Amino acid sequence: MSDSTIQEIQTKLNNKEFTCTELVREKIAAVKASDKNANNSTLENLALKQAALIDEKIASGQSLTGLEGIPFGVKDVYLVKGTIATASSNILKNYRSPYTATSIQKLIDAGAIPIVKENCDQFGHGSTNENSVFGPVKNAQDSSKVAGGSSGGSAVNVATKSTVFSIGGDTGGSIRQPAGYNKVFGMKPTYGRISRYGLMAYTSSSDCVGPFAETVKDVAATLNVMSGKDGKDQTTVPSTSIDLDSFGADYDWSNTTIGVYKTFINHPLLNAEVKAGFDSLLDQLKAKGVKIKELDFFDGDTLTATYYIIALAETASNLSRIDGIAYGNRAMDRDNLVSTYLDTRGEGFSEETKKRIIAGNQVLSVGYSDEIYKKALEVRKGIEAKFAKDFAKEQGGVDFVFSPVSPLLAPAIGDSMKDPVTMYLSDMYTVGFSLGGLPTLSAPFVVPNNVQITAKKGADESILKFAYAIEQAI
Amino acid sequence: MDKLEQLSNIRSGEVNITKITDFFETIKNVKNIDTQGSQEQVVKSDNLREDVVASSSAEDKDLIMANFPAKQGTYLVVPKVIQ
Repeated sequence: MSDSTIQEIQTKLNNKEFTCTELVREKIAAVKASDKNANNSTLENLALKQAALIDEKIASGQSLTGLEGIPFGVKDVYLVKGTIATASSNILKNYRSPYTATSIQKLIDAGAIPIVKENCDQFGHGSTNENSVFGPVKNAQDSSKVAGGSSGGSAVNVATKSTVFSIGGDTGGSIRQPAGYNKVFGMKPTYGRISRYGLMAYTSSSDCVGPFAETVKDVAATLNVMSGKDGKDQTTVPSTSIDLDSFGADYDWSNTTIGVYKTFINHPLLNAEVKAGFDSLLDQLKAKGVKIKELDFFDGDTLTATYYIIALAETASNLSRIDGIAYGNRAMDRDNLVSTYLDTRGEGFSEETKKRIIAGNQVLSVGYSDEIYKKALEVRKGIEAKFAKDFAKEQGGVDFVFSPVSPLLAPAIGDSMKDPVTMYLSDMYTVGFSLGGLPTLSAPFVVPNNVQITAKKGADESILKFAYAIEQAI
Repeated sequence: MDKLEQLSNIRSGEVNITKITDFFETIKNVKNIDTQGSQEQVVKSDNLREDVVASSSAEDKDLIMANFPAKQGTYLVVPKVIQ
């Protein structure tokens, strides 16, 4: 297999093995023919116009570079000007984006072609992609299983080669876990590396834009295009470009230390098959000279509680703006303003989303704010402090932390709806790194789920270089 | 009406949040939090962009207007506020 699907396709376009218009038509046909329910709408007109421009460029004798001519998918929580953005909800089912998200615009400016808006959990609220007004997304490998979530449609499209790469959103694991359930790469970069402008906000303090792709190099190539400070998102941070040419140089395995959290690998929910796959990868890395160090960490229940309390509070606040007054489907002909609000939001949001908003308002209310919300913020500081110590290499810390992406195998469609607590707990391996704002790659190096490779803030390139070395070695 | 429904502006019907609120007990029971070494995650206000007045194109205005849920001719219809 090539180490870059993007490069492989671009070479074929440059060699005129097929035209960009043919490629885009083929991908849109695949999206439409898919039985995975991974897509909410196609962007056919926009895509074909862009493809025609790419074909003109090739016809004029110029070669394509970067991401030019590459069809990609977009989770349906991003705005693409003039097209529908539903967040897989009833309330925004007919909402037309008035502008394009910075991250998506940067990809379009680099020549990549958005072809589809992808099914997801409503406003990112879910880990199985069953909380969608369009119905559940089916797993790429087994249609009786969930795709994972919240960016399930994006993961499935890459796994089924309907898109070359897709852009998801990760708040507490929403890229990494579906990447794991569908066996593709998915990356949550350092918080602030990519602008969130034009991404519908769920939990603003941990929402991240990130790609799904088939290879490490493709992840890096898309990150490079999307990264950078943005005046429209005050939380963005400067970052340097990832040097793809340095990938593949001899990797210094013996000078690498991996940390493994004991609370993760000893948790009673951890599936035996997942553990066996994870241990097998560690054994292969040990054989290459990598050192493994077991570390103490917060327990899964504390991580999950901390994450959800903060996420509930922030989503209650973020979604308060969606009330059917200036946009969104409004409940008409109610007697007064209050009834209009109550029914618009009562009918427009799903049960899971309503649950999260109501619990979020409870968290923020008098009597709960100090004891619950502020305590969760304090615990989050403790988690950040622990990460700072764990990754302090000069003081005996580690280069990377490895963990499975989820303790569980992908559940059957319908099972998590009966047992939401297990669904929340299935996020325990991903949410801590989100609270810390750390870069994390979900990589299909182990069976049955992916491994999660995490490093200190800003070390996105180190993760990808290491992952590339592993990708080539195993 | 339930106070939380009112706070949330949502007619919630049968929504049950007890499973989620179990997390509250977990967080209450966390002891001995060592926060030494954590970095402040606050947004810095010393590097703000200048406010610039920019007019929207006719296309942008049309998109915003098209999203408005109720119209009568050129008027935008809003729910009755004064009883």
